[in-house]
Amino acid sequence: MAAASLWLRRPRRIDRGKLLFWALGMGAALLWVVPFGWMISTSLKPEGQILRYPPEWLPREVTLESYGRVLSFQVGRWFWNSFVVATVSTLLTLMLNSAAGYAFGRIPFLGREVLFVAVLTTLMMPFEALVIPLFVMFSAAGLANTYAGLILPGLSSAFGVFLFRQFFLGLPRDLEDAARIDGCTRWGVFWRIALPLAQPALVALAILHFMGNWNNLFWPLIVTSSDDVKTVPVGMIQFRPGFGADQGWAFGLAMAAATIQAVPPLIVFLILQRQFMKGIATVGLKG
Amino acid sequence: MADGVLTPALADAARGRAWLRTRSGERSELVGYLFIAPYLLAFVLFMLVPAIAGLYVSLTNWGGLNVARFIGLANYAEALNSSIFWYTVRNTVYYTILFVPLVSVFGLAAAVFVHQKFPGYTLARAAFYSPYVMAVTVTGLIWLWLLNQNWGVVNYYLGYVHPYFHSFRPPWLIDAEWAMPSIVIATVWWLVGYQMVILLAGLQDIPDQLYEAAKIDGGSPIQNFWYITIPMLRPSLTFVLVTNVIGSLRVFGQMFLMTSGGPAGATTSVVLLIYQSAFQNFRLGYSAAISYLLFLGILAVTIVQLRLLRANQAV
Repeated sequence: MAAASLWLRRPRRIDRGKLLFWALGMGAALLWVVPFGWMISTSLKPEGQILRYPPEWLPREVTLESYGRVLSFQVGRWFWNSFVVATVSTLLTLMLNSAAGYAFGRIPFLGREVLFVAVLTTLMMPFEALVIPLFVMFSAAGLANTYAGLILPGLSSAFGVFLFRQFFLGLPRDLEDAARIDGCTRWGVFWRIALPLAQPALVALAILHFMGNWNNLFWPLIVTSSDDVKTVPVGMIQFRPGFGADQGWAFGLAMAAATIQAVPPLIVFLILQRQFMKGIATVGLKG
Repeated sequence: MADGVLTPALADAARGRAWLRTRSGERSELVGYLFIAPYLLAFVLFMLVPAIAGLYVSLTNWGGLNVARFIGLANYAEALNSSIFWYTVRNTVYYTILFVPLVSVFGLAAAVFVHQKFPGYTLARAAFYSPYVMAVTVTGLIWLWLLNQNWGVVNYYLGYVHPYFHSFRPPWLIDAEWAMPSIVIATVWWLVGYQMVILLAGLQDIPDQLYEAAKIDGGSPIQNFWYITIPMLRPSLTFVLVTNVIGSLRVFGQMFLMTSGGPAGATTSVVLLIYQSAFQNFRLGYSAAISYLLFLGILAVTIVQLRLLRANQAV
């Protein structure tokens, strides 16, 4: 009886509007990944199958021809450069910004407010306004086409300082005060107590900064010209298909280049999905 | 009595010590300067110095190799009298006007959808977000192929949407009228995930009680959306709007990669003009002047925007 009445309970009513909304949303999500599918498919096609009308969604035979062409360039080197630049820049930024943010939030010193406001106002300064003088300075100093040239300008961003200051201001003071009374130095408190507590802010900023540096195009484009230091996005520019040149191999090449470039961030994103989104949501800004 | 009436500084003196004190009366600690010194060095060298140097360069006729000659505001005058400069301003504004509303609406729709936690919502969230984790070059290359006039899949499937497109294949990236909308479409695909995540965080902050109360009062989902969600989401929406407008005024990568600013300059943004003036025409002074005009423009737009939004909020 009991079982029967369970079965006979009215079927779960599915709201029509909700179903429609669901279908629309999932359809849009599917549409969002279709370009990736088309990218990969094109990259694996033989030259003769790329320009087809109507389009053929799957390669008739899988070939790595286009990949071979892309990889005949210094792609490995670009990846290594991007990795070094993004890693070093992220680590340096975390160190400089957390220390400065801590001092601005916690350590009293003369002129602190004035300095902080000065730093804060530059948040409005677009990087584009600094690019010409930076290029001139770096060329004059012999830092064009060097890792230092790629990394250094990014260190001046006030964003992380602001973020860390906010974070440290939000931490309860008691722990730090107790450590101070026990004779811990400012540095000791920062390094052993405050910084470990700031892990969420550190992770969020690290992800955003690494991603921002990895994907950055504008400054690397200006300050590098040699394959030895080019980053991935700069190197990949040369694979864009020429205008009006509707040639199958050109699109195969472009899609292989796009795939090579898209896959590593995609994998990292899928593994660290939650941290990525949490990072953006808590840190906001940066685009 | 003693300590209470003494200022901290006098108390120090009475104890035979003389500390510097901050305005709030705390002892100023030298170690604070050590903490900020590394960042401050980077700040001075790579922000303050170039900001000032750039202002000087913008007042010269420097081209990189010649000896720079001070020419006052001539570069600024030239830019403001140049139809090319104003054309790039128009292009940038046009891009902003197309892009910001589109990406905000799509981002909001995606956020509201994902927020429902329907089956499969995590997949949808990842799908919307994934283009954003990649460099602009990926977006550019993919959409150059998708939007190709003769062989692109977009034009092929448009034929299914409306028979009109059987005979007319839109010249997406190769026609002056069509090029900017093409770039906007590609950019919406690329950046919608960012808006989604920010707005999603805003949605999650709205207390459930509001919706429960509305349910008791018999509010429809659409009423809920207009009278609860949107007003409560205002801070996030403001943030998205302001950052998108600033970001759009600085647009560069998509144009650089997809159209090189063409056809006939129809997609040359202000930043692309800065790049071209400096690194293709080697007019560093002129380029620096335009970059300062851009800075002033962004500053003005941001201030106006924040004022308007604040005024709007007060009502």
